[in-house]
Amino acid sequence: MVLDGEDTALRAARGNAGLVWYQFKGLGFQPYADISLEATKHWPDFADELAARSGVTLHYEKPGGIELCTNAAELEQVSAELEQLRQQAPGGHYDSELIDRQALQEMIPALKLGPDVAGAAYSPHDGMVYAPALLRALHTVIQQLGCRILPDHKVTAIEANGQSYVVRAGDRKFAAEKVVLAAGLGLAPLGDRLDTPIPVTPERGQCANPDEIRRPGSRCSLCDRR
Amino acid sequence: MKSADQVPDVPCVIAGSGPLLFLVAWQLVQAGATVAAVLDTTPRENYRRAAWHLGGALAEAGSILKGLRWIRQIKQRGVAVISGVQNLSIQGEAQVESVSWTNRNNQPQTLQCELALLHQGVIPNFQMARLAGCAQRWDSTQLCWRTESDEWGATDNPVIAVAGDCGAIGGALAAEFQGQLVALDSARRLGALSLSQRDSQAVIIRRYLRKQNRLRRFVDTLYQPASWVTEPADDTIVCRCEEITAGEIREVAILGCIGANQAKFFTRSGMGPCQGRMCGLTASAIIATTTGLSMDDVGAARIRPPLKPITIGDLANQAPD
Repeated sequence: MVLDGEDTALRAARGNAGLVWYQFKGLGFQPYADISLEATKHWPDFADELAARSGVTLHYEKPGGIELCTNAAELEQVSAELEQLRQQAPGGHYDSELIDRQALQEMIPALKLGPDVAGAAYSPHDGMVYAPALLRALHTVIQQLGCRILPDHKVTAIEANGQSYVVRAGDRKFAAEKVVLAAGLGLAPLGDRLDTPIPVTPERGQCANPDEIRRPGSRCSLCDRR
Repeated sequence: MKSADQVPDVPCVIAGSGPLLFLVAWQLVQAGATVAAVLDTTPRENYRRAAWHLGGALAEAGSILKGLRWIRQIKQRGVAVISGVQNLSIQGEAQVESVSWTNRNNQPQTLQCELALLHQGVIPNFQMARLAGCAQRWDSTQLCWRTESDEWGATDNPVIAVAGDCGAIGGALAAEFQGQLVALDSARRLGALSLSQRDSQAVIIRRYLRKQNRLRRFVDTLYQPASWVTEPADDTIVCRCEEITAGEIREVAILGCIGANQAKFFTRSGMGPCQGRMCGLTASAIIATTTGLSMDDVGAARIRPPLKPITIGDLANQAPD
């Protein structure tokens, strides 16, 4: 059973969905880097299975991804972070490389680089999926597999009860042996109720999506790092 | 016509419902355009329901007579006025070639034309008040959101009052009177008028406003859009910017998308350049009917600034805080 929040819940993960990404994840925490790489390797099969079961076309592509450095200082920082990721990885290998401005421009010919762009980091593992299709496919398949999705059931309390839990959503109560917290920005109040601090806070940002990058000729997906 | 001073240079068909339909036809004819036909989609039962409010509307008989005069004059100029139109569709590949509909007797009809102009009434400019967090509720007669306000236009936000189309559709004359009431109450709040001064000055304004409102009930009931317009068939495109059909919205509503904000995530409906100004009400209405929720429960998508289109250059030149 999935207890989902109200329509106006903060759903940053959905706003940010669409990239199937490896680069720079897990800086300072190797297990996160490992699981990100592992996920990008399983994604092609996962996408096929989801599409087959749901009938939804996901538009999943794995053309590799770039992390733009819009000035020399950013390039330096990205370079230092790459070095740190290499050092923390077992075997000292991290599958991302720096590319210079000219190589970058050749990768995205439709998007004319500004004068300060210094280069980018490139990894062949990164890709993207059409987020609304992914959401529809997941909702379809989750319910096909016998799981109920209850929208507008914001969890208001979780109580440990011996070996199991009671999850409250308003007036309704649900008993479960295992509870997975996947509430994104809603985790902080849930963590507080379980005496497990989960310090996540919303941050307002702006996202400008240059349509040019998606035109034919572009050979990679693009990620804004922060 | 109004903002760009442009008049179609090909024969056109005007289709829809509402008092402005005939005004536009009349103005276009006056401006020299060729209007082949006005297809009136006003549902037949609306006439019966509106008849209840006719008595009140007669207080403003002048407006009704004006409307009838427009209709008579465009007919004299060769415009076919066809009522009882249902299931309107437009055909054409690269451009409009014809419009089709079913008539009163459910017979299919077709008319060649190169331009089809559509109108299904007007809705309030509710975005500003909603962005400010003012309480709004669904108006089941006008089929739109209206900002809740008292008789002075005051909203639940102590520093915001609304008049005219910011609150609800009342017509140009009513908007003027509402504006005067808001101004009187603002003057009272600022201490420039006493309570009794405000009330006495408002008496005559309210009398005019009441007359307008009686006409409004008649007009709103008569011209309420047909359900095949507000909740169209599955293959009709609801969100023009992202080309999302009514069927896709129904599909995600069944999957568990129970609100206007999530409809954006699931389908991208409302995420194009118009930011849901064209499709928002329709998307919410489809979700409400599909899920059995009320319009107030389904709600409207959050309003994202900018409220008016700006260039990417304007955005880039904004100094960071």
